[in-house]
Amino acid sequence: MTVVIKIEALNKAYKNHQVLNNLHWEINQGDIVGLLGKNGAGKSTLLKGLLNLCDIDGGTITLFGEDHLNLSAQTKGLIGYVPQENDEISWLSVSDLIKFRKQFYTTWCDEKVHQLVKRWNIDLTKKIAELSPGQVQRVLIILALASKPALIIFDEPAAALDPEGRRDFLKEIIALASEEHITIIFSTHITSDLERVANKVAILEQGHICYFDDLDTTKENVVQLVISHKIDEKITVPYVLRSKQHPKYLQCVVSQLDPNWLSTMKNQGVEIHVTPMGLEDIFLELTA
Amino acid sequence: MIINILTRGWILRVFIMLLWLIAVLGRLVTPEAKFDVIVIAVFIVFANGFLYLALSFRLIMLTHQSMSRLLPNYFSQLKVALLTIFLISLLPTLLLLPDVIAWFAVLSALVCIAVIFVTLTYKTKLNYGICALFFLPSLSDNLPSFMAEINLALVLAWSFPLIAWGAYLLLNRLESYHGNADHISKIIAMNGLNVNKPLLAVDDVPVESQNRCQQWLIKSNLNDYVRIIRSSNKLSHRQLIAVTAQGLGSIGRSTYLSWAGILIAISLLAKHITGEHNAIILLLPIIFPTVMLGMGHLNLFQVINKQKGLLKRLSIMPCFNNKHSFSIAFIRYIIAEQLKLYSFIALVFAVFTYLFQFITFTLYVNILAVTASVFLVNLALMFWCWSNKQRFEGIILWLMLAAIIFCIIYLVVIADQQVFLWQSSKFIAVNLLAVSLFSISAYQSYHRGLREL
Repeated sequence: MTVVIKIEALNKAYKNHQVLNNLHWEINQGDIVGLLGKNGAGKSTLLKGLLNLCDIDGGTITLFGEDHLNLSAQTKGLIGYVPQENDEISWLSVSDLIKFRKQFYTTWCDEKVHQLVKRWNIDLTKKIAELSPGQVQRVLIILALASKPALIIFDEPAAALDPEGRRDFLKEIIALASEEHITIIFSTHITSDLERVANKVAILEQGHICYFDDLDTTKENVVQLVISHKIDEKITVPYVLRSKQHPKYLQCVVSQLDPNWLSTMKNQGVEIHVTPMGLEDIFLELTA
Repeated sequence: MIINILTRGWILRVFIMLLWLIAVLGRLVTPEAKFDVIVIAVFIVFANGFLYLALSFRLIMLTHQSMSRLLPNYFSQLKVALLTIFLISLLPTLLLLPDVIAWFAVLSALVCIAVIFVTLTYKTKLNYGICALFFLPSLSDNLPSFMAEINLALVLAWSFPLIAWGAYLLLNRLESYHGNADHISKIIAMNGLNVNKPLLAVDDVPVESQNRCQQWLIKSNLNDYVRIIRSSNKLSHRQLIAVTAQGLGSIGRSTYLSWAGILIAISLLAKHITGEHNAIILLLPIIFPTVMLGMGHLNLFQVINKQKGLLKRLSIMPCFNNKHSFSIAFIRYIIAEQLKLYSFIALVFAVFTYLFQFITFTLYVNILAVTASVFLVNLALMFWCWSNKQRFEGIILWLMLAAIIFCIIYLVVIADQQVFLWQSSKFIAVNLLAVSLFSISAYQSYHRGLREL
């Protein structure tokens, strides 16, 4: 697997607040990563930092094997980015903005632009300032996709989109994901979107990636256990995240389900119910 | 496309073309006169200076856009666009100035102006240095005699390679220059709004992006209204409107104090400046009251427009039970605020006229008379805008600004006149018209109930 992004010992602080703390992360080609994190966890800072859109205090970041501070024009052409906040020139019309952005890319796909503009009903004559936040978000997504990038980074792309827009956007990501070489990272709070699209999930907590694994493995591992036993019996559950003792049973959530432990317990006659959890619950448990 | 963005706006383009055209015509009409070469050079420098100023504001937007670091070959394309515009702006110089020395001198001056404007936009603190340069002519009296004999044109012409090299280094530095984030975002916010909605920027720049002095001014002005809320059990209609109609650009007690402080400082400085340069200082008593009045009008208009939503909600509160009670209270508030401003200007300039005697009593009275007309016209425009269904804010702002500029020019023209303006029948007619306009628009506002507020 080719490593597309490699982050080592990344640090970033705003005044006295350490946002990213000795963060290590590696993303391979073809990964569709959903980045989760609480408000203010530093998701946007991480995404901006790795693209050199904000300065970092320490650490090294490489994109396609190049230092993120000195990316070649060719590598820059491989990257698409949809920011959380629109800072495009507000007085440009949509068509002018598209024209402006087109001149920087050799791989620009007009067909893609027309197709998405038509599908999303975007008025090309309108100025960016005159569009609704949802429409601006769609324009930004079009701009990011039009250059046919090999790495796309979306910073909360669906936040301003209506349900229809979100569905269309997810369809687009799924279509992109079907092309094997594309790598996508998107930060979001909407875990249902992530579940539909991502093949990996990362959780940013206390300045570092505290969890990064395949989505399916995550769902298999992070589960809720209900263990029926007598209250005077002492049971030790491995990888427990949270547990609550009830009169007749022990309820707990584990970050990893140990099959050996499970079979041992069953052999001992302990009744254990394994309940899968939704991604939203998994996120809440892992960051609790 | 980058060139289009950098030079966007037909008014800007036509204005610069017009100045270039005047320079060309000047050259064609009197090709030999040396004096005209200087006039032509001044025209070209002024036109290009204007272009570079506009360009520097657009440039900051392009260099600090988040995508600028991510787009392939962005800065090389930006540099090419800048150099293209610069070379085009040099064409009139090349065509119109016959003398090689003059040509290189103007070229150097233009590069310097471009660098200064761009630097000023990126580094706000340098603005203070430029303000200090305003008083430089008075210091030139004390220059050593050998310096006075130096031919500036020759120095500029020979310095061209050095200046061009320095400018090229600075141009390359743009790529990595980050600057003060607050200042940059403020300039971008103002620029974005200015281009999109002309002049509607004053109240839209976030407090944290303003300098410390402005932050203090905003805080202390707003604190006065916090005190009103805390001190009184029941606020009057006018007080309710006053509290609701405050914004970052509001003019309050602290603004008046600051203005008085600035005036004292400038007057004391002016007292020490004598000789021919005193003429510049003499313009200040004309410019200052008009600018203060203009700021008062424009800021109030913008703040009220910004607070429209809140004021509308206030107007449907039960305390405004009568159909016209909100309109009456609002009109009273606006007139009272503007009268306060006008009285402050009249009083302060009366004191300064008496103490420093920069202007005659006749000119003082004439300034008050002309500004009174502008005062009435601008109030009429504001009320007319607020009582109409259509949205005219942009046009009204430009009209108000035009009235203020006209007022300054008119006062400069009549500065030497020793006759009171009220003795002129034309002036009385204009004033009567202003009074009529004001009365009609105020009545309209009362009658229509400030429907567009």
